[in-house]
Amino acid sequence: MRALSRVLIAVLLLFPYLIFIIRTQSFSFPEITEVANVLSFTLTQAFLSALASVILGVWGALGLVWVFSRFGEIFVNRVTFFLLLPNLVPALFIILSCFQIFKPFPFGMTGIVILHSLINVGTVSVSIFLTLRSRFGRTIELAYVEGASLWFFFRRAGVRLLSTDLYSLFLYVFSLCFASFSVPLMAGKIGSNTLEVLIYEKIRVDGNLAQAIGLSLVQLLMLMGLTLMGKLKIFSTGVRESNYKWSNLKLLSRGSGLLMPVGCVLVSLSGLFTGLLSGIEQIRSTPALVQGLPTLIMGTFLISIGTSIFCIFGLLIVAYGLPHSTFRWFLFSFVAPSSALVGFAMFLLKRNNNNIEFIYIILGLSILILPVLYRFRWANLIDSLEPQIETARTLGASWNLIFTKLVFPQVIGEAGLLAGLAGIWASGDFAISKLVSGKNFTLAMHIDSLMSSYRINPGVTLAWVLIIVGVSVGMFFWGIGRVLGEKSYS
Amino acid sequence: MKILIKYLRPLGTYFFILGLAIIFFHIDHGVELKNATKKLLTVYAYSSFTQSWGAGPELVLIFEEACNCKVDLIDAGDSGVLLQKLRYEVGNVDVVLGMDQMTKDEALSGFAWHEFSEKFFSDIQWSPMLPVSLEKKTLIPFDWAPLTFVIRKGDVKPPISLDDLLDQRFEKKISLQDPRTSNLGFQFYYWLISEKGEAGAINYLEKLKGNIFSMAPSWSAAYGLFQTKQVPLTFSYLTSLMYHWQQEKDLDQIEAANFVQGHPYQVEYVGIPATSADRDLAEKFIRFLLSEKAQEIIVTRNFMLPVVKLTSSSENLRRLPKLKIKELNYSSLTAEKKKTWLELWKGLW
Repeated sequence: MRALSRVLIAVLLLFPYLIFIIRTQSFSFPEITEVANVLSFTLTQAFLSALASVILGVWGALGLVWVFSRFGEIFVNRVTFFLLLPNLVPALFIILSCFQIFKPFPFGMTGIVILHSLINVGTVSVSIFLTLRSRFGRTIELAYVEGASLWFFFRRAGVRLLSTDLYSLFLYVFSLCFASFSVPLMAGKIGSNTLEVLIYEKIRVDGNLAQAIGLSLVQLLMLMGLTLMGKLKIFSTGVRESNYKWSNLKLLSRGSGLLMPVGCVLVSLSGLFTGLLSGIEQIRSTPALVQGLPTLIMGTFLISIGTSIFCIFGLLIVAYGLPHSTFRWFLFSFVAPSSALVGFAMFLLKRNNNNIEFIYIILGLSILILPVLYRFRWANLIDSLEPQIETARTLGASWNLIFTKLVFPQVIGEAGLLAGLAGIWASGDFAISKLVSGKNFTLAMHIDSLMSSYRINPGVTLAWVLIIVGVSVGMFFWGIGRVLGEKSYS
Repeated sequence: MKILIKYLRPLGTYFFILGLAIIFFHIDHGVELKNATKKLLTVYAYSSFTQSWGAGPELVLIFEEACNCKVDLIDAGDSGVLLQKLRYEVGNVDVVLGMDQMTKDEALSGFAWHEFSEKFFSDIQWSPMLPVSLEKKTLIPFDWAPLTFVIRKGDVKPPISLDDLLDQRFEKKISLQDPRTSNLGFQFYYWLISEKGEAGAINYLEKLKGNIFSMAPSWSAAYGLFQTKQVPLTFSYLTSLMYHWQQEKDLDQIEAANFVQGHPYQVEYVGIPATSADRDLAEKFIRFLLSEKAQEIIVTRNFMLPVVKLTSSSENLRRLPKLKIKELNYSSLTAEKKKTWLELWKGLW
């Protein structure tokens, strides 16, 4: 059964490649010179963006610790969702917001790193904060009692203890920035060429799907190579065991840390304020701009909730199939093909099944997000349970018993959080949705259409509705995860 | 029991919403089922044409009443993506709408198209302004627009030529489109190549670098920079002025550059794939698109110029400045040439 679950997940993630190979019956690699120039720029911008996001995210996490210490869990959960908002909003709005605030805008590598950091710092801060809370309570408490300063703690123990998590987060942001499309084009120097742009060019200009698939495989191989660094000792000495002693995080509490992630979110979203009133006015004068708004909201819920449900089951199946070293390495290093290719793959799979095309969209989104979620937090969480699993196996427990009594209660809370994150991200998708569906049925698709026909301000107005829908789904799944976790323990 | 209800209630709410969403989805997508007895015409078009505020829905409504049929208007993305999708949807599409001069050759060489008879064109009164002729009777123009720089009045003195754009007053003030990801971006690049030759175009872009604020991945991103006042001028359609006049009631703030050497143009084509199941109905739809009534809707909703003579034109249409049109030789624009020019462009940066 466990082997079957591993095969199921592997086939699911490789699905887009399989579809293309079956339908097109070819793939090829472009010229090495063409790829080499593109790769160096793509790797550099992704590396620097990930590094900046992680460093700033650590500081942001200390700010969240301060919020938790001063205002309690309920308030910090709300701040957490606020920090995840940049993941919801279309990248163009964030880019335009930054252009308005940073004058002159530092186009080039600096500009790309700034934009990627603005989008990802909040998520990284949240992740590190949750890690600190769930696994470092005892260590931090001891350091606090012994009179260690924050700088001493991080210098002597903190970075080493967090190394595995920081490495996972670095890879998470790296893989997102590696596949970034709009940001390098608009914030980079003119002519910035990334792998994603090259793939898009192959599809759109050359009509060469075979080479586009080949480039996606290059992306995959690059990330697989990078994850081999995880074998280095420096990245594998982190604390693995769960430890819910979170009452004494005062040593790490730094209010100033909150400025960074909150500032990033405010800068990202500032553009959503400037066009709001004008957008409302345009909508009032042209009701056709929001025709079918209930359907759009329902469609967004459909995609968002569907992706969350798919991801929560996907993550649990992954948890069931682990521990397994090859499977772990595959999941950690796997990167889905570009969203243009995944969208095309789902379009090919859909054929004439227009009535259920939302299923293909959900499938495509889940294929894209599952490896990201695994790298983000799931990998380290499952790894932290390995000692317990080993003990249980030694005592003769079956795998099913281990999963139901040991693994599930400890992971379902996190699964809910990650599913919520998937739902938030999915609600803002229009790339895959538009490739698969011929009709707008979600808010994100509608916003993209508005922006394609001069109506940027009504798009900004509807972005607020999108935020409300996305956050509500995110919060729901987070809550579900926590409730199921508590019920599982009792 | 209380705890169970407390736990189930939010879960139940969200599953209820999910169920409702699936029902809404089917209501929206399943209209064909209700009208299963009527003939169905499937039309592929680009995004802004198919939306509720675009020309498509209104045209479809009028046509459906006239033909007693059902038209399924599908958003197939921009012309580049549209042709890729068409490769896999052959047999399921009756009308394809939205190819331009950049993708016309690819469309003609990659797919078989229905050929219209002479009789089809016999009573069409083409607009004397239309800069193309119908040498092939397969892809028909249905709207067009000159391309120029749209400028916010007062921010900067308008340019009078391509070379004037190199002036220092435009430093970091121009938003263009990336030719790799945008047809309009390639239109600008091809214009430069036509005016100055390959080497001249590269040399020109080298000098223009300092004046470009951003080369956006799409027209909407570049125009978004203009609308949010990041830049005072952007490369767009002359007819963009009509949007601002009509929708924003903004008659004084926006103007168009008028270059002495003339301007390129974009013509949008419509065609019937040879594999269409109902070519007669498809022909009727295209004939309707070329009617005066439909062309007026295209002017006011699609913000493009008509391809046929209109007996009465709107005030906004009359207000548009008359730009000199530059004839560009699109027949030399092969896929190989395009690739070579894009490599040259990439090498520049």
